[in-house]
Amino acid sequence: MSPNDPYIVKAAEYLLGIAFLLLFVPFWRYATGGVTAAARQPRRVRLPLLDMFHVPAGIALHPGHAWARLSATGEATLGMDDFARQLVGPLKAIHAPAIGSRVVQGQPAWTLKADSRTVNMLSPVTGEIVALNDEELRAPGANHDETYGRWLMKVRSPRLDVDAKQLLADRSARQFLGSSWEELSAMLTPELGTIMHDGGTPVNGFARGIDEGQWDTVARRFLRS
Amino acid sequence: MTDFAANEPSRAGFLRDKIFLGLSPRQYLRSLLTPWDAVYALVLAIGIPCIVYRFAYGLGAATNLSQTTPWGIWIGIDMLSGIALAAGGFTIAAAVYLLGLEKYHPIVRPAILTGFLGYLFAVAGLLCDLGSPWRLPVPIFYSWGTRSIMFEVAWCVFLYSTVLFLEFTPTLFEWLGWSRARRAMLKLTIGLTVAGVVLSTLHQSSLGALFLMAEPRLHPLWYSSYIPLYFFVSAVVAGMSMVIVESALSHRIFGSQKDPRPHVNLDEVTIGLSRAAGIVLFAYFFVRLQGLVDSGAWHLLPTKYGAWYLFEILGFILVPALVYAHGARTGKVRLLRVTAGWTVLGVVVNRLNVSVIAMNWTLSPHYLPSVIEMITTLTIITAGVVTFRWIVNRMPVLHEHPRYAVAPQV
Repeated sequence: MSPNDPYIVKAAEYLLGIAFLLLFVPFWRYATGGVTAAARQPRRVRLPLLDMFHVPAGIALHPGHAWARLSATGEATLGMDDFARQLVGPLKAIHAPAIGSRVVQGQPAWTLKADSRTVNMLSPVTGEIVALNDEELRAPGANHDETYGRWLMKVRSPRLDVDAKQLLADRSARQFLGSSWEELSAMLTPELGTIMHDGGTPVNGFARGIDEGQWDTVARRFLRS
Repeated sequence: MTDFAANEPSRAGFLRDKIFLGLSPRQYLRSLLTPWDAVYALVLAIGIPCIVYRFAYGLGAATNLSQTTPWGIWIGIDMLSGIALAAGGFTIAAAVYLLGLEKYHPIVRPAILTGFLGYLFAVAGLLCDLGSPWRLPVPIFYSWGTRSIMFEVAWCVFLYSTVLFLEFTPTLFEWLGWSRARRAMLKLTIGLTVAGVVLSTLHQSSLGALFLMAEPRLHPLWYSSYIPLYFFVSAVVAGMSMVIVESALSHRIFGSQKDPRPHVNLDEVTIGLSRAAGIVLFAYFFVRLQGLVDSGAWHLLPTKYGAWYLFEILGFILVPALVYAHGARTGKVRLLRVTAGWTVLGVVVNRLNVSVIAMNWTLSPHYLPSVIEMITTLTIITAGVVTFRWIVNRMPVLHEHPRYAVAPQV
């Protein structure tokens, strides 16, 4: 059998073409079937939108759910947004570095402590800590005034204008909180979602509602730490 | 956005804000004291003098290239592989802007940047390889050799590099704060994407067409009249696989830069790209077989070159196609990323086979690259990685600039 015999070559080409057509259809069906990434996620639960989407003017959010109020004097007031508070639930304490320490944008700035576990939160800006809200750090949430009044630390920085470009404000901030809420909805079980349709939130926080045993891992995912 | 974001840095603060990441020069230099930066510095410290040596003393002194083997790894890896792996730029841009597959929008910018740098550093490799690199602009501006396939290659690389740069300019202008220029460039998006698809199709295949002239020199198992088609189809797979690898590495390395919007699901993007890559690879396998049958060279399969050929088309084409399909079906993202890396390697092996290993296969001794050639190639790749990192650390590549970000409606 000569490889240059035109009859042999043509026969082989046709056979190969037919084999391709016969195999390609099942291959296509196999590759495009199965479980999609979206379908692998738990059934979605649409939670009622809460007041947390209100972000006052002058407040900018970091994707790690810390907020910053930037002043023209180069000082920033930092805290955690309402989404973060509802995510982790009641806290025993918040550990922050001492006054004079340096925090860096996108790096851990303070630590949330609940039961025996801890979760870091990222700093929205870079600078030196010039003041701490000891009352809020010792007893987080004890003072039930509005979220953006419950500050944790004040930071002085020469580069707030640079840091601000990585933050979200106004419409972008509201949409960011909305999409975080959407993602949270997708992780909740339908049963838990039903419980919260009355507008209430889990006593121990959403992260525990999703996975009691690994709530800190769930929280880190949203807080990007 | 806050008033702070609206304020552009003063001219005096440009260097500090845009170049030194808001740090003083001393702080910035201190931030570079990392193990990876030490590796990059070492490679560049050795590689740059090697490149200087090549230009000072010529190809004969620096390489093992000769009149019979004029193309080595600078063409096989830097040029042919670099261009193939850069095909993700036009593939992803076409998927998003022409086919409307918005799911892939978050990876358009890194794909275009990877493509642009792939071309830029492929040209750098070409400059090292050319005997008279200063004559590179000649076929563009002075002497049109319209009967040469090199003419088409030169023009396509020139035009497509320009198109990739223009596609990248919105990112650049966001970084510089030039809103008006950004808006103007965004209006050209569709036109540039169409131009990118046309030019890529032309020149990915014309790179393969170069080897149509080398029939007497190229091993019959790799020579085929379909070789332009091979190059184009494999470039599409290489581009998608490279985007999977690059996006996975970028999201790990540049964690603080990644898109903060939770709806950006990299796993879903990876699965979608893998599914497409698997289907194209499967078809590519049969096209290669068709070429083998058509060439009548199958009697050479029970030889050493035949074994290597089978390893290439089974190990680097059929097996990844099947694994891609299985991984996409079962949602095993880590397996898909490993497969993408393997496929990228397979495309590099293919380009090396065609341009180096199976070229001049009857010659003895066969060409082996010199140490300077290998160091130069490593240096060019390292320079590409360092440039990519420099840009990603400064410009809104992995995420949208907060001022221009469009988040989903609540």
